[in-house]
This record gives sequence, C-alpha cells and structure tokens, in this order.
Amino acid sequence: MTDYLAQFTALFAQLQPAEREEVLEFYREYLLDAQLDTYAACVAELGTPKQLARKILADYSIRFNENLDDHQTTHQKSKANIRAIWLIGLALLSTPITIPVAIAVLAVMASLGVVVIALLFTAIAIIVGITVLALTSLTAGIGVFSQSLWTGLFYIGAGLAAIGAELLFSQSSFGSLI
Amino acid sequence: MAIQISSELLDGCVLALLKTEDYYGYALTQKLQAIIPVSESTLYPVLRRLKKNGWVTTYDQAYQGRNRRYYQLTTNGTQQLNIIQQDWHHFYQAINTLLKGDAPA
Repeated sequence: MTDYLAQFTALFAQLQPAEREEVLEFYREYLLDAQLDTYAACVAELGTPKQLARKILADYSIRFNENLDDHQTTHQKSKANIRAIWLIGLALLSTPITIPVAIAVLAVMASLGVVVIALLFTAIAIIVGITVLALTSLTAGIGVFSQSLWTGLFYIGAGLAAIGAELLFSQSSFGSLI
Repeated sequence: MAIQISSELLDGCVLALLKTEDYYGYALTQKLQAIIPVSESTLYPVLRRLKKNGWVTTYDQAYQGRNRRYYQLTTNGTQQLNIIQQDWHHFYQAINTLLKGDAPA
C-alpha cells in the first residue's frame, strides 16, 4: 500500500501541496478502510497509480476552466489553459498506449508552426524582391538617361511607381504597425 | 448498465445519502456501489467538487490511531439536493414520455 501511494503521489507534482496532501489522505484512508495491504490488491481496487492519477488530473483540468469562466481575466485564463494543456499532455504520457497520440499532437503543432513561419518568409521575400527590382529599374533609368531621354524616364518612372505601390500596400496592410 | 450517470446525478446521489447520515470516503463508496455501478476512483473528484461548492463540509474523527474524514451535508447542500431532485423529476418524465412512445405527433 505504501508503494502504491508513493507512486501515486509522485504523479501529482504539478498540484498545489495542500491539494496533493488532500488527495493522498483521501486514498490512504480509503485503502486502510478497505483493508487492502498489498500493491496488487490496491491495483485491483483502484487501478494502477497512473490510471488513478490520470482520472483525477483530468478532472482538475476541466474544473480549472469552469472556475475561470466565472470571474478571472483573460490573462489568467490563458495561463490556466496552458496549465490544463500541460496536465492533459502529462496524462497522455502516463500510459505507453497514448504516447503515439502525444507524438502525433506535437507533430501537428510543430508543422503548423513551420507553415506560419514559411508564410512570413514568403511575404518578406516578395517585398524584398519588388524593392530590389524597383531600385534596379531606377538605377538603370538614371544610367541610360544621358543616352536616351525617353528610355531613362521610362525606367525611372517604372521604379518609382513600383516603390510607391509597395508603400501604399504596406500602409494598408501594416498600417497599425507603422 | 449501459447508461452513464452524469456528474449532476452523481452529486445528487451523494448529497441524498449524506442527508440521512455522515459518511467517510470508503463507507460512502460502498453505500453507492451497493445501488449504482460507480467505479472506486470516481468518488474523490465528486466529494471535492461538493466541498468546493459549499454543499458539504468535512470533519475528522480519530479511528484506531488515525483520522477518518467525515462528510456532512450543509444547508446549501440540502437546497442543491432539492434542485437536483426537481431537475431529475422533469428529465425522468421527459425521457419516459419518449421511451414509451407517448410523444405527441
């Protein structure tokens, strides 16, 4: 029974000490009253320490969110949500069968992150590309200005138009940032 | 029994048992299990919720050199029990109407 409770307690590291003590006390009393002395008898009654801990932790994480809906700020809520996610993650890791599930969830999250970064890079590359093209056109225009007035004017005009369009676009899409 | 007992109903069942006398964890589990199929491990979360909502209080009593924590119904708990009883009554009637095929066309 001592072994069972020791293993069980180890799984509650993320709870407040007072909470942890209360859970432990409840099950210690329960096992004493049920007169279950051996580890095997405890498992037969309550399941393995991991199974029992998972049930209790899952219940905690759900109630974290319930309480938060009443009276807490968004910041605290998101913090508690992160905590809930951690608890669920830990619960998933507590049995070998669910580890592949946890890996799959992580992989999906990682790939989403990569997609977001890739999109950002694409946007930056497009902006840089257009700027380089416009500046080249501008320089070329100035370069040929002395040889051919109209060709020079055309390239300068094209370069300036491209930069202008880019500024207008960035103003409208990142207006709040600039 | 294939029908799952919802947490509201489980709250109600525990509150109703505590209406007659105070119980400690193991005795309460035994009492419940004698009537409905609940797993040994589900009761702690229920009792914790009931206590947090102020529907039960606890007190410790020495027993063979250790403590037993007893659960006791509060006034709020009695009110909550009445609410659950009424809710259940309505739900029971509604489901019965459907299951018997008595629903108006």
